[in-house]
Amino acid sequence: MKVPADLKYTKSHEWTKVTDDGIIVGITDYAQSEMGDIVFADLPQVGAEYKKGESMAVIESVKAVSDIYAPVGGTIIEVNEALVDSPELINEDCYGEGWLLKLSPHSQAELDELLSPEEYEELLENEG
Amino acid sequence: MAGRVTPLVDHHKRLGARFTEFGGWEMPVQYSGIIDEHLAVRQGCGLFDLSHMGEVEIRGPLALEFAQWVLTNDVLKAAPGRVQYSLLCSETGGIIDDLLVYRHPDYVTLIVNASNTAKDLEWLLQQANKPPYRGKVAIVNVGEERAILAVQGPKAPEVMEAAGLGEVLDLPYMAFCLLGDNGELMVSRTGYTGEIGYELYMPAGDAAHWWERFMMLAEPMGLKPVGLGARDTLRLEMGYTLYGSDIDESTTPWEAGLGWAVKLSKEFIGRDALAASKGRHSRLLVGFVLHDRGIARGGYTVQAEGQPIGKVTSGCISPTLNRAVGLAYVDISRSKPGTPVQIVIRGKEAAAEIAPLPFVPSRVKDPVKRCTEK
Repeated sequence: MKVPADLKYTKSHEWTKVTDDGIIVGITDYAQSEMGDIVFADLPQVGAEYKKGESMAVIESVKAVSDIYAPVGGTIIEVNEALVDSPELINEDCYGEGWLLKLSPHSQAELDELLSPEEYEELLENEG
Repeated sequence: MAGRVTPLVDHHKRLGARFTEFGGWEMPVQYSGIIDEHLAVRQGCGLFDLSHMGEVEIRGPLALEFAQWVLTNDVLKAAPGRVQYSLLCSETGGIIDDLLVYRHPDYVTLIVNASNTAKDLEWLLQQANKPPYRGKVAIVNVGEERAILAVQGPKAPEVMEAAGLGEVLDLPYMAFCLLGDNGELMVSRTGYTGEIGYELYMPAGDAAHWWERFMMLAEPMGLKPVGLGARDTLRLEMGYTLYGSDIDESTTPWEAGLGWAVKLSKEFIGRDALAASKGRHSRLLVGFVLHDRGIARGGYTVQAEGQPIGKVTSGCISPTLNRAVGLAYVDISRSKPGTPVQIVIRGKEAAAEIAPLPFVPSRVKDPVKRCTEK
């Protein structure tokens, strides 16, 4: 399972990347592989606000429905429109073209609580 | 693994299968991916391990009379060598299980749902203990020592021939034969996919031999191993019901659209209740297609003009049609194909329409062509 070194992670298998205007959120290689063929992404409206840990999107594979939880509290500033027609991008390139959304975080403190790549890899070992 | 495993569990692990719990069994849910496996069955050929299913024999001097008494369909209309779809119903007409009956000259084999095997056995033993069947009927749970494979898809006949089982190409749909030195290999032209296909019932010790023999044809013939995930999407495209999702003891055959498997002209358990409820059901199991984006899953509410009219029982994205389809119980007044309805998905209404079944044309009765002359 790929766990890029420049990202931060959650226990619920989201990844985050800090950029100048907000943080990008996606699901990890482990998560997409566990879900199997992803056939639908139900993304939030731009402007919607979520607290840390709240469900902000839903991804469906042929078999299962999975909630995507806010890694940190924030306001949605962009969603990946390409997923509307091509949800399979999440399987094909979960850390790139298959990103889900970008949000503007409400607090710096919550960002510091995210898992490092090493911590996330340890979590995967325990799940495996 | 927490549940029971089939004799082929190590073969599945070596193929990188993902497992899921189903009816108390740890079963492969997917190998290469549900969509890939689904399309392999529609376009080429798929190999399934179905050893979790129950196999029960009804034997003894009153075996056929007993089968006729506990089953809703007319067993005697099935000649020896034929397979018949049938139901076990309770006295109140609820569906205990749906199953396949293999008619032998003086006994029958029932192939039952894995999740219902224990319940069916208990029910059958209870009934067999009553007069006039007591001491004259034996209920034999042979499934413990047996394995089941299925070979399904337009290339299934070619694959069977290449595996040395060319004689099964003569079988019409819903017929079977016994092969092997002692008739220990039972092969039927049956399936749960809507394609031409065969199901093979064998001693558990032979499972590895046959699995490996079929898998040797994977490369040359494009055969793929298929898990329960694609088995579910394949059956849903055909509108075939799944026990536990679309039918159970609270549903009657009439509302499930299975009335064709109920023969009121004979006596059987549940007959009086079913005769009384015939034509009086207020809901019907129907197919629907979704027009809006999303997937309608089991349990979602179906509405018409803002009023709830039913519940989804099964739903998926059809890999063949690339759109969301499903089965739902709806008020009978809204059950006609073409009726516009809405499915409530996470609080939002998605436009849908009642649709005729099957969603994808059935090819189960397509003629079988031989590659080689006999």
